[in-house]
Amino acid sequence: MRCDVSRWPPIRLWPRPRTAVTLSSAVVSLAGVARGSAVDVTVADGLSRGWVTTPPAGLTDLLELRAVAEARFQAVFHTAPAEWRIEADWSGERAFVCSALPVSLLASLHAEAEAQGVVVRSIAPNWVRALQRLPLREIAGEPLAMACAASPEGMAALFLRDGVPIDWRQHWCEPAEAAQHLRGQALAAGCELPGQAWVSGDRATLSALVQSNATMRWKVVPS
Amino acid sequence: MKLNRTSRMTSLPLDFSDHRPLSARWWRLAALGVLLCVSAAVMHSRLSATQAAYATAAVPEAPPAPELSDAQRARLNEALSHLGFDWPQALSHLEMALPAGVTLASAEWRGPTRELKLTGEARGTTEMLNFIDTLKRDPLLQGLKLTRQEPARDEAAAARVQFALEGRVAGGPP
Repeated sequence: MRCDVSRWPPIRLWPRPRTAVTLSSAVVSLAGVARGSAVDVTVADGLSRGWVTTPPAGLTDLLELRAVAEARFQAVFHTAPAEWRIEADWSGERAFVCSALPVSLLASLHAEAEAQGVVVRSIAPNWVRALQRLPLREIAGEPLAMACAASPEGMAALFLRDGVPIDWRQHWCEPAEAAQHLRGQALAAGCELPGQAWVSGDRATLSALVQSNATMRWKVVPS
Repeated sequence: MKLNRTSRMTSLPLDFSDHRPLSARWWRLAALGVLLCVSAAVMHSRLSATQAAYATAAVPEAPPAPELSDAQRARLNEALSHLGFDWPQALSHLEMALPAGVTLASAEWRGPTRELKLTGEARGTTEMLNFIDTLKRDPLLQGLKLTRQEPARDEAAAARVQFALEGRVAGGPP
């Protein structure tokens, strides 16, 4: 994608990724895509945000759920949500996973797609794509489960209890440090480390993850 | 933006694009629309083919008219004259001419000769004659004659008179 990085407002990355993520490398290039074709855009994890929102009991209005998610976003990232577009697996009956992308990034992406005559079929962060590849219906049946998205930059981990999300974190770490980071997340979430972890990602990262964390049982789904 | 009503997280429908794929319901509606269009096109083509076939088909000649005997022709003319007689107008005339004390029992129309035969009963001879005078003044009837007159058979009404009249309806040659 031909993006002029200088046009972009500075984006605060928290926590900071292990490797620097530039906007030009964050999204797929649209320059070579044939006019009229549809593309699925995957955004680098360093440009996205993820968290879990627990709605107050009895809340079913989508606008109110969005307000709760925005309040949670501000509390976690100390950033005003106005410049972020928030999407979630909205639910008024249980906790749900949220994700946010910069509004400026999405606007430039759509403008570029329109200029190239390309139809943007979907846009999602890399960790969302990885979690979507996992058998979430099967994972939701486990009493305590862990769904992870591994990338060369780090690993995003989602803890679920009886199919309900309880904690989401992004770990900017080497594959060898993953088990230690996951133990820390389990302590922070107030639960034990699940006996096995579902993980999706590129084959090289998965291979390094499994080899360097032999004490954990991994169920891998390559991308 | 859609609300997930499952108690467990079995999917992660997160998407930041404005492109929203059609739901199964809309796909079904679209399929139904296409099906209706195809059905209409097929029916239209079949109808067009049928119309074209009718347009090019040879029209069969009408069968020759059957030969009628004189008797058949006479009966046919009589039937046609019955159809052509204005019964409502004639009955309306008779009803207006009926004085008090006179009732009509039957009216018989003979089409080819335009003859009208009436039978009825009057309270007395005076009423019957008044009725005949009224009919004679009517231009609709010509050559009115009293063909029968006899007392009523009912002994309780000995003064009553039963009668029969014959005449010809004006309006054309017999």
